[in-house]
Order: sequence, then C-alpha cells, then structure tokens
Amino acid sequence: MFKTNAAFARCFESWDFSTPVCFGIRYSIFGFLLWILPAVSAFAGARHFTYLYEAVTSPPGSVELENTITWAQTTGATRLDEVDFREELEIGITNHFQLGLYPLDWNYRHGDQENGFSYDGGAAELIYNLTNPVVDPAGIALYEEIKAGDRRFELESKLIVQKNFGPLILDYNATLEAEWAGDSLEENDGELQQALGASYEISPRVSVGLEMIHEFVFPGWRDQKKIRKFLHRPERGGTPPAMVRDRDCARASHKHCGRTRFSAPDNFRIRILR
Amino acid sequence: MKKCLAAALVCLLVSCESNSYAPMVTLRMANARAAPYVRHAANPSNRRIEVEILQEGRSLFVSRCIECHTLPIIWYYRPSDWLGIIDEMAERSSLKPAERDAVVAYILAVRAQ
Repeated sequence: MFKTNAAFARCFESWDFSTPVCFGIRYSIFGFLLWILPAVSAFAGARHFTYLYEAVTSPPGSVELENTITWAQTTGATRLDEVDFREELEIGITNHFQLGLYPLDWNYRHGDQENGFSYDGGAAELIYNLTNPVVDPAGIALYEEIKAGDRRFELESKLIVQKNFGPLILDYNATLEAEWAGDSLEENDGELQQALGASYEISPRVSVGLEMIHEFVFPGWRDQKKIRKFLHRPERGGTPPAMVRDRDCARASHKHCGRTRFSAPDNFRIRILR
Repeated sequence: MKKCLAAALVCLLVSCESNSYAPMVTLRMANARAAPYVRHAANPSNRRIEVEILQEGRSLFVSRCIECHTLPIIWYYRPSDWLGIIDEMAERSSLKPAERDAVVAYILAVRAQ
C-alpha cells in the first residue's frame, strides 16, 4: 500500500476544523463527493445485489460509471472504522462480453492502531455471459478479475449462476481468489467464497433481498492453522473482512484474534452503489 | 411447517415461470396482427424473415431489459403503451433502430396472439 498521507490522517483523526488546511481538505473531499454522486447516478445501471454479481452483461457500446462505498465498523480488542471506495468504468463490448476497469481502489481507516488513507491499486475485470437467466434453465457467466497494487497481485475467478423467475431473482457466485504479496510476491493466499442471494423486485426502482457469503481462506494454499496466521497479517491483503474470518477468529483464542483488524465480526457494514 | 414452506416456494417459482414472460416465437405469432410492423411481413414468402426478426426481438427483449430490471409482463401494457415504453428504453439499453423495431414486433406479436 502507498504510504499514508500524514496531514490527511491528522485532519481526520482530530476532526478539528480550526486548522485552515484541514478545513480545506475535508470540505474539498465532501464537495467532490457531493458533486460526483448525482452526476454518476445518471450513468450507472441498476443492480439487484450489492455483493453478488449478476450473469447479465452490459449492452454493447454502453459505458457506465459505478461508484461503490463500503463502510464497515469492527470492534473487539481494537476498534476500526474502514471506508472503502471503488470506482468502476463498465464497458459493454459485445452482447455477451463486458469489460470493467477499476483505476481507483482506495480506503480510509480510522481506528486505535491505524489511521489514514491508502491506495490499494487498480483492477480490470472481464465478464462473459454464456446463457440467459430468463429463457435458459440458468443464466451462467464467467468472471475474471486481475488486480495489481503496491507489492500485491490478485487473480479472482467467478462462476456466476442466476435464474430469474419473473420478479424473483436467485443468484449464486462461486469465487476462487489467488493473491500474491510481498516485496517479491513470495507470500501467497487462496480464498474460496460462495455467495447466495435472492432478490424480489417490487418495482423497477425498489427491490428487497437477502445475500449470504461463506468464505474459506487458505493461506499459502495450506492447512487451517495458517488461516490464523493469515489473520495475524492483515496488512498483506486489501480485501475486506469476511464472515468466515470472523467465525474462525471467534473459534481461535483471543490472544490471536486481538492482533488483527479481523478480530471480531463487523458491527455493521453498509455499502452504497451509485 | 418446513414442507409447507417448501411447497409455497415451489408454487411461487412455478407461478413465476419464465416462459410466460417471454413466450417462444411461433409461426402463428409471425402471422398475427403485429406483422405489419415488420418489414416484408405482408408477403407470406417472407415468413421465415418475420420469424427471424421476432426471434431477434425476443432475444433482445430477454437480454437487454434485464440489465436494469426484471422482465415486465407483456400483457400488462396495451400495445400503444409499449411503443412509448420501448422508445424510452431503447436509448438506455443501447438498442439500434432495427433492434428496437424487432423488439416492438415481438411484443406486439405476443400481444396479438
């Protein structure tokens, strides 16, 4: 990760408006967000799920800008508020093929042990739709994401299965993620994630639904003990805490869990897509 | 209790069965009242072209519309309403004029059945 800007960190740490520099920085950011959110909402397409991907791809020639803001709060031995920002440029290439570019993945962390902004890198994703979720028995799409950052490289593959029953959408994502980190990318981890969701569209603007995520972490692609070891080094990964980590951590001793920012289940996690 | 819930879920899924939202293209459909909207439709020798256009319309209808929302019930709107709806949605779903016509032809053909 890039080094935290100390001036930024100080401003957000103290929430002190008296300093002109902090005042300017803070209001510039808020102003920027207020300026861009209404503008981008005109371009973004609708999504029925916040965490799951759908099997449908963008129409050819379309370009959409989608912003994702995720705020997660974790309390345990230490407290951490983390806000992740992700800007995606979604481009429809053909009827069945979509390209997504994430030039800016960054986050702000505020906690007992760390504060400040960091830039996590950029990513590109490719989605190829194989079958249609309405007329075929199941809509299937293949997803591949390549992410690179400072001393980090990730590959993420997904199998997306979706079925539409009128206004009801059932969605399943199986994700295999491989991550390399370190000065010479000598550290490697694997993750297997399964996610299941259901969404009911009340109107084109309003849907209600439920999503469940289950994740296995394989540090070094090896046995379970190293899962705890992985938890000791959260700085290696930029991925947000997931349910299985929380569960494993709850099983592990507090001595182990207390050292990591994945130490306790999130109090809450809010994601906004625009 | 669990059996009741499972049965309710099955009923819900069956009631939402997909083909009722996007019926398959049939020869009868190609001959239906919507045919005048399709180029060459008046001539019976061009029936194959009509079917192809309707199939393309169905294919676009079931793929482009669900990018933003689930499929609307075709019977829910009158044919005159559909023309306005598709004109409004064509730009959002990047439909070219010929593709827009194919979707209109398909929807009106289904309505005319």
